Order: sequence, then structure tokens, then C-alpha cells
Amino acid sequence: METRSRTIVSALAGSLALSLLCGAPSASLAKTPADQIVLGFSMLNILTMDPGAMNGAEMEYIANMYDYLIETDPTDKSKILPGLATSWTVSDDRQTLTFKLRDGIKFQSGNPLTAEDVVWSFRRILQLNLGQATFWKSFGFTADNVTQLVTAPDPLTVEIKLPAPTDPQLMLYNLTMGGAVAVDRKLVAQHEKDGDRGAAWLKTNSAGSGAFKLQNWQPNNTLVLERNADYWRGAPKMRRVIYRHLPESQAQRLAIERGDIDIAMTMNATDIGALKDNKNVQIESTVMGTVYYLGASMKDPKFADKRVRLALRHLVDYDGINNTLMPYYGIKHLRPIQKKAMGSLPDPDYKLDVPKAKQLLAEAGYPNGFKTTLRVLSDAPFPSVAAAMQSTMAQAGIDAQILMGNGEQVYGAMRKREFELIIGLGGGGSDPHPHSNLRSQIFNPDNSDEAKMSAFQGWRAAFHSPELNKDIETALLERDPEKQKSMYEDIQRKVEDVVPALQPFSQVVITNVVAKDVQGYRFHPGYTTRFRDVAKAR
Amino acid sequence: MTEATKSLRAGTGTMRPGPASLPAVSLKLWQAAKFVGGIALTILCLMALTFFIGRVMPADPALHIVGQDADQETYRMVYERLGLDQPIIVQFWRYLVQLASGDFGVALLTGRPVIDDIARVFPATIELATFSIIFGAGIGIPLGVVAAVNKGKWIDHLVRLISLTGHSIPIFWLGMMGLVVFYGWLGWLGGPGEVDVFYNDMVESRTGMLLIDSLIAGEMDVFWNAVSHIILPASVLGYSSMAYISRMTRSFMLAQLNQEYLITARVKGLSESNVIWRHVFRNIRVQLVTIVALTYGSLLEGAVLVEKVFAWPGFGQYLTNNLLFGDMNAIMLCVTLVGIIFIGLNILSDALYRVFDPRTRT
Repeated sequence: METRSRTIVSALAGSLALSLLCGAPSASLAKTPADQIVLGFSMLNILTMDPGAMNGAEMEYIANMYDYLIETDPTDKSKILPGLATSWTVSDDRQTLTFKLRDGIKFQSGNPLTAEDVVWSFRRILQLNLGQATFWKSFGFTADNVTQLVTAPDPLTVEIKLPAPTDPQLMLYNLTMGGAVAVDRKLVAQHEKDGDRGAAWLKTNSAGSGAFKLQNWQPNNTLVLERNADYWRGAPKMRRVIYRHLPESQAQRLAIERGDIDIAMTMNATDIGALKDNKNVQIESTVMGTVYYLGASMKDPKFADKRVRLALRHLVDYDGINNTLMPYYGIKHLRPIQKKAMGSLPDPDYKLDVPKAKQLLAEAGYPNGFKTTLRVLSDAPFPSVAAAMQSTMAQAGIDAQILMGNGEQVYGAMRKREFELIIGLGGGGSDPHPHSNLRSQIFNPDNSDEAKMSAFQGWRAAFHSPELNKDIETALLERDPEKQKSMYEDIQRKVEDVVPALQPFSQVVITNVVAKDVQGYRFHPGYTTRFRDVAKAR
Repeated sequence: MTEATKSLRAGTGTMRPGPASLPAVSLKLWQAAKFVGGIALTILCLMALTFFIGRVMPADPALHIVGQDADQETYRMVYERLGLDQPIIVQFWRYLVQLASGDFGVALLTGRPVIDDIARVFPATIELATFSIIFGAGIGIPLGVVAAVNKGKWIDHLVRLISLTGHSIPIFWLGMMGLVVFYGWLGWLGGPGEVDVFYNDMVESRTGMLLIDSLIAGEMDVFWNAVSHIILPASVLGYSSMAYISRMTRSFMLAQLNQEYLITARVKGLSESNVIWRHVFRNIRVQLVTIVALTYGSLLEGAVLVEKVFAWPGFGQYLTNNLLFGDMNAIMLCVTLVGIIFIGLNILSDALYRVFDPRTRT
């Protein structure tokens, strides 16, 4: 191998020397300019610039091109900060949220931003049934009722009436992310085609009031945001924010080592680890609210048996996986509710215990184990985690065949309830409210196949506990924060006994490598990282 | 298989005699109609096959659009809007009707007309493929000739070693190593991408080919930067085509070197280089044209791995992403384009046959 590679290197060197001799000056490898930030990133999931239609990966661009009514603090995402709204109040009956907008804000087009724009933007999501409608529907909003419920009593006031009782805090958190931004309706009207409310145009253009505007987007190549010099918070320090599609982790590593990018966003653990001692960069990890989990489908009679699920709980090497395979991807976390959220508890003492698992399997009628399949994404860290789990399960006789695929294949099968075991990522938690995790992982309002509650991972895995459903609903409506906290603690203890279909093993961590001279960059745990205060020390 | 391909395989000219009763002019017309009809039928079959294969693949564009946490109603709506609830045959018919009205459709992955997307990604691939084939043929053919002439000597073994390595080393590994050495360590060449990112948008896009556009605009900074970016991927890609071309050249040459006309030539007192280049090489030109044209064709299809490693915004990545995503609008047009390229290259090499080989002229 070594002689071979030497042959190639010399062959390449030969051809290169030739071309250099032919007069090409050696490439001027300029570093990134002082007034621009360049990010290396895999852009495969970037499909649209329409805030209402995005599916999540695009949120960072949306947060920089548009403004939300309110924002969360990147260092403490439970803390709500003003955005377009300077103040917000919740009515005594907890049914109405009122937002007062800052006066004098203008869109990038120069059009004034009014409460009418905000209301129009929110209604549009539901009336067009865009991707972001899912969150509005979860509160009971529909295309029909939204015109009565989301209103603008005057040009500087937005009023949101909740269609069903809930914790208003949950609604507030949800307004800090997703598609809940103000869109310039007058500008969009100029580009409307066949009554589409700008759906076609907004896919590739921006119509916001944010710190940056879309300058150029070439799918899977580059995305360039340009400074909005008239931004109402003051002009951003960076002239441009440039995202470069670098799908290969190693290419990102080389590029940040060479100084051709300032921030590497989608590197794998091996390459991040290799930069640990590099003086010019720092490695920044941010704990997110989502979890990695092992899920079992209770449609399968084997996993419908609680003893088998309990056996699975004892067939995962939580410490081994988290210490060796998950660094930079996740930290050990075994409960449904994310760390630091209201009611979050320390991890239970689950351990790899093969004899106990074997005993449980024997009791359930599987003394020699069984054959099954384990679905998993083909990206790191999933394959290695799957291999680790496969080997520990094999010790108790469970022969799990690993089926790898892309997101649509793995989660598509889960959404159709056509799987046995799965290692997944999700489980709510994009906002810091404990309800978000419980709703996604445990709550299941209707377990029938026909209900197709595929937004709920509980339904996908056919886990159905009417008692826990009720506890979750009651806790959400509790007004006394202390009581509410202890209710969430109780729910988690109950979850330990019930053994649900999803067992979290790690909480998601996003790790970025950032050049030392970048200042003010703070990755946001809600994916709304903003560049308006980012600067470079040169 | 088209007429062109058939005749290519047979190594003769295209036109076969039509019905004997027809007068000469309508005979020509008949042949032309058959020729065009054959191409149209080939493309239609290609499209039908692509559509059916594409639709039975386990890809779900609707889920990709709404995201895995979307509720069923939203998902359903997108699913139906894309027409995925219809039988495949209906979907295909709808696609053909849409095509007949001159609408190639919008790519779901990019939200833009597919034709615009291809106009953006294809020039990048043309640039890369052209550089690669110049490198591959420019070095591969002489190497093959030298190896054949020195059959069994050390130089033949060396050429074999070089081409075997080119054939057997995974191209993404080679690309990565090239980046590590020439970009990472030495810093001689540009890294991934067509150009340093801040040179983007500096020249107006006329042809879509950055090297040409920057020359037209007189932006020499951009031009040299783009050159420094294309050398590595073109060398890596060119190296593997060079391997193939040199092996084929060698075997074509060997077949000729056993012919008796060489004895005549040598007896006449021609110099050895004259014998090799003017006599032997002339006779293998026809075969070489086919090999080089087909290699160029496969380079134009896009080299997915090289494009991925070098973050090259080309056709291969575009097609692959759309395949994984199941976006039929994009897949159909891409595959049809590849089909047309191959048919075109076959016709072209047919034509070159007639230039190079007097026996095929009728």
C-alpha cells in the first residue's frame, strides 16, 4: 500500500510540477476576509428559504433573515428575550397572549413592519398547510379558526388566543423558533402567482426584517447572506455570512486548518478529535434538547411484553457507548425529559446486565432469544452504536440484523409502524418545556392504526398508556410552578416502572469547530444561531 | 440500442439500405426518419424505465419535504400534491403530458426549474470532464504506445503498474490524499469547491463555466484561483481514465504490431518512429476515438465520489442527491440528458470513423 501511494504521489507531483512550470502562478490561498464569516456545512437538507415551509435544517438562515416576536437566550434557552415585541403579557385566564411591537421597524424592502404583517405570516402557514403548520395544529389552531384567533387589534399589537387550554409558556417557547417570523406581505404580494401567497417566490428569496438578507443560494454549493445595513438593532459587523457545502468531514477539517473556513459545522468525531490540540481553533459543544433512543415497536408481540422491553433496557452498555462512541455527539442521558428542563431528574441506575436480561427473556418465553431487525441511519454515530447494541443483545441470544438507510427510509418505516427495533434521534425537546419531550416520546392520544398519529413517536412505537396520557395533560395545565415541577418528576418515575417503547441513551450534543479569531459566535440550542453580533478579531 | 450504437459495435457505417422500391430521394428521407425515430424510441424507453425504477425505489420525497415530525395530514397533503397517490402509469402519463407542453418541472430539492438547475451544474461538470479527458488521453495514449512498443521490458511493466494503480485505488481515497498533500500540507493548490468562496459571484455567468467566464470578464484573479481548484480533481479523475485509455491503447497497438504490413514498411527503410506513428498508430485511431469518446461520456455523467470529496457543484452530485430523494422531475431530465450525450457521442464517433477509415465511406 505504501509503495503504491508513493507511486501515486510522485505521479501526481509530476503532473503538478508540469502544470506549475507551464506558468500558472502558485495559487494565492487567501484566508477568509476579515469582514466575512465562512461556514463549512453539509447542505443536503436545505430545501427552501420559505419560513413556513422549512422542515428544520433551514432555521438558522430564517433566524438571520427574519425576526421573531420573541427570542430565547442562547446560553439559557429557557430565558425569553424581546424580539420584534418589546413586551408580552398573558391574560389571567391563560387563554390570550398579547404582544406589543417596537415602533418604527422596517422590512429590508423599506416597507414598515406592522402587526398586520405578523398576523398575515402566521395565518399563511396554516392556510397553506405548510410544513411548519404541525406545531400550530398541535395547539388546536386550524386554517378555519386562525383568522379569529390570531389578530391585530392595532398596528403595534398582536393578539393570540389559544384554542384549547395549555401552558402559555409552551406557546411562548414555540413562538421563538420555527416559522413564526414576520414576512413582508407587501413585497410578497408583488411576487404572488396564482394566489400562492408567494410560496414559489419565497422558496428562493427573502422578505424579512432581519440582520441579513439572502444574496445568493446555489443548492448544495453556497448560500450567501448579505448584511442589512439598516437593521433596526444596528448594522451587523460582518458584511457577509457564507455557507459552503462541504459534505466530506475531512474536507471540512482541511479547510478549517488552512483557514479557508471560519466555522466547521458538520464534522465527525474523528476529525474533531484530531483538532483538539490545534491552537488556531476551538471546539465548542452545545447540549440540545433532543435525545438518541433505542425504540421497540409494541406492534410486535415480543416487544409488547414488558419483560422483553425490560430485558432490552439491561442489554445496552450505556457507559461504554457514551464514553467511547458518543463524545462530540451526545452525553449520557437516560430519561425522557431533557437535562436542566423543569422537573428534570438525575439518570436512573440502568446498567448492562446480561444475566438479568436472560432471566427476563426466559420468563417471557424466549430462553434462547429471538431474531429481529434494528433500523439505523447510515451517518455517524449510528452505525457504531448499532454494532455495539447488536453485540450486547447477542449475549442474551437476541440476533438483531442491522438495516441501514437514510432518514426517509428509517423514519419513514417507523412512521408507518413497520419496524421492530430502531435507533433514532428526536423525541421532542426543541423547546425547553418538559411537555415537548413527553408529548413526543410518551404521549399517544389514539393507538389505532387508522389514527395515524405519526407526529408522535409514542404512536409510531404503539406505546399507549392512558394513565400517563392523563398525567401529561394535567401537568401541562397546572398553574402552580412548584406543583407542576413535582408532577413532571412523578411522571418520569412512573415511566421507569411502565417501561415505554423508547429508551433514551444519550442527549444530543452539537459540536462545532470555530476559528480562534471569531468573536461573539454562540451556537443556539434551538438552532436559531444569530450572526448579528459576530465579529472577527484581526 | 440505437442505430448508432449497433453500427458502432459492428464497426461499420450507419446507413443500411431501406426498401428497394423507393426512389433515391425518398430512400434518404426514409433512412433519416428511421434514424430519428430510433433515437426518439430509445429516449422514450429510457425515460419509461427510469420512471418505473425511480418510483419503486424506497425514497419518499413528501417525508423529506415536511420532515419526520410532521403530522399525517400535512404529510398527506404534500404527498397528494406531488401526485404520489396515483398509480405509477398515471404519474408517468402526467409527466409526459407536462413534458409535451415544454415544462420540465420544478426540482423539489432546490425549488427551481430543473432545466435551470442543470444549466447551473452541467457546465461545472463539462469543465472538469474536459480537463480530465485531456489529461487522461494526453498521457494515456503515449504511455500505451510506449508500453506496446517495449512489450515485456521494464518500461512496459512500469506503465502497467501505473495504470493498475489508477484502476484499483478507490478514487475518493486518491482525492482525499491529493487534498491532504497538495492543499493541506503544501498549500500549492486550492481546496474543495470550484473557487475560493469569496470569489463566488465575482464574474457574470455567461457560459456557466467559471474558467471561461472569468477569462471573458478579464478577472485573472478568479481565473487563476479556479485553475488552482480544478487541477486536483481533474488529475484524480484523469488518472483513472488514463489508466483505462493506456491499457486499451497498448492492446490495440499490439494487435497491429503483429501485422505483415509492418515488415513492408521496415523493409522500405522507414525509421522506427515513422513506422510506429505513421503506420501503426494511424490504424488504431478509429478504435481510440471510440474509447476516448465513451470515457468522456462517462465523465460527463459526473463523477459522484470526486464531486463529493472536492465539493464540486457538478452534475453527478445533483443526480445522486435527487436519486436518493426520489425527485422524478430532476431524475428524468438528468437521465435523459445522459442518454442524449451517449447517443450524441456515438453519432460523433461514427462520423469520425468515416473521417479516419476510408473503408467505411460509402
